[in-house]
Amino acid sequence: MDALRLEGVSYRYADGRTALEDLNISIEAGERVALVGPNGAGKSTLLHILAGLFVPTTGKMTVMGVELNRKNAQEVRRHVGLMFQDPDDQIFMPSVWEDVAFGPMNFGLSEDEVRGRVAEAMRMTGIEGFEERVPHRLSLGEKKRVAMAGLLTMSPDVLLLDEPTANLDPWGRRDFVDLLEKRKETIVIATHDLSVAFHLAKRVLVLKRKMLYDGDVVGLIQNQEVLREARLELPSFSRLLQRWAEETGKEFRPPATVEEALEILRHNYCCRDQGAKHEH
Amino acid sequence: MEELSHAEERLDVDAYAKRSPFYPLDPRVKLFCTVALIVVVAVLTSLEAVLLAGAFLILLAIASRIPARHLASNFLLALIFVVFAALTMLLYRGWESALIIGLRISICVLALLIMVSTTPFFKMLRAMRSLRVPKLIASMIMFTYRFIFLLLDEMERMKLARRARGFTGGRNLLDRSALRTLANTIGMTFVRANARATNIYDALLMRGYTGEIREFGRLHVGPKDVVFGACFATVIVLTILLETGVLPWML
Repeated sequence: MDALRLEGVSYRYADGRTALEDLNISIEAGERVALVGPNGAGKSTLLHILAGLFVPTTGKMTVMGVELNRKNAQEVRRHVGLMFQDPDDQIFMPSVWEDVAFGPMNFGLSEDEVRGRVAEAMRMTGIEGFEERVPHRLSLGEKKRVAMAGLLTMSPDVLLLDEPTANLDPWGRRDFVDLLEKRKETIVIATHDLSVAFHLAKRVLVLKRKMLYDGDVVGLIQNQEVLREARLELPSFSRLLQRWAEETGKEFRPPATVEEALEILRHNYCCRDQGAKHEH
Repeated sequence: MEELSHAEERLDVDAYAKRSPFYPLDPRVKLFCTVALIVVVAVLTSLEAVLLAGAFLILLAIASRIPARHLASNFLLALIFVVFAALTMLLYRGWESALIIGLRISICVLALLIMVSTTPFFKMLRAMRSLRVPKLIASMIMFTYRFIFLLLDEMERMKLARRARGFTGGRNLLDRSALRTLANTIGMTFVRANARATNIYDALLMRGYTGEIREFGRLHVGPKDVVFGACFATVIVLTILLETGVLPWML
């Protein structure tokens, strides 16, 4: 079943600017997809449409089989959790517990159900013990976890994440990627960080008002034209090995992850045996 | 509880709510009693009656265990209105009217301060809704409170940006260049705050917000609420009797 389906979707802002043009996308339930593109490409607008906050100017969008229109936006939103780039936009209540519980309380769930969901979401996001903390005094990484817990308590079928690792320190970024890796929901991650995108998703959508590319990571890495057009830069280990391949004349496809890069080095260079030892 | 800076303490209306003995009281009772007292005080013309209401509120402030510094620093925000009204009355009606109007406004402000300082913000909104305050008004109050922090954050960032680019505040109060910069800053603050506000509203919609304030537990009027209400009722009746001249006649 398609969790998300867009057919001929275009979106024009009130001032006449066209943000998105003729998008046709289908994302299966449980699939993890990275949405990349330059600044102003329409990534956030697309996330807002997928979240049921904007209704397409033309075309059709369905979430878990429910077609979005102006009347049923609230029903569509129950299937979707949207994490904003800046967690301060999302965190509203005076304490972490109250903020995490805000969504399920609005959905009218019983007190026991809400308490159970909040405890579980806080455990999953690693913010146990933060219940009474004041959100606006948390670090950015902690705020992002609180925002994520707030989404998970609503048990959405689809998670839409707008730059989830932006401005995080390296460990915060790593922790957040680990957290996302464990999720079973359908996930769309809008990001500039291709190393995060390649780590978390097998499929990449490259957007620049129109869809420039919709396919697997390997195809994108080899498609220099799309990378240039979308002003994307491959991760540094990938570029390093590309340069090495050019200089040595060896033939291999550029790696998408650190593990792939390591495998290439083991295979093409001198440390095959050492690599095997390392693995043992 | 985490340590609060003085500025945060003044803006955080929930900073002391849970420490107060009035915290467990039904917020509807607190709201109703406070509004009733304010309505009565607003029409008083007798100095004795005003002083009685004032004395009651001072006792209430002491009993609330809200730090005097917190009440005083918030009261200072309203002081300019008190002084303005009192000065106007001084010019047209004499010192007694000035004193009465100054005291009346001060009492109303103090009553509101005690109420908001002893009631968590969202409990108060819920009480307002249960007393039939329209959803729109309750939502506007909630957003106003949230946006105060956003506006301050935005202004602080822009102040730093101005300083970083050499702005020192102008040579004097009428420096046109400085005034233009400040006007642009204020305009830009509102533009940015508007963009931020749109995001916050979208985030609320995503989490099922419909304008209702939801909290667990049913509001319940207990014996302590009855005692609290009876104290207010007694003071209100006594001030009315003093105001109408019935109390001295009875005594």
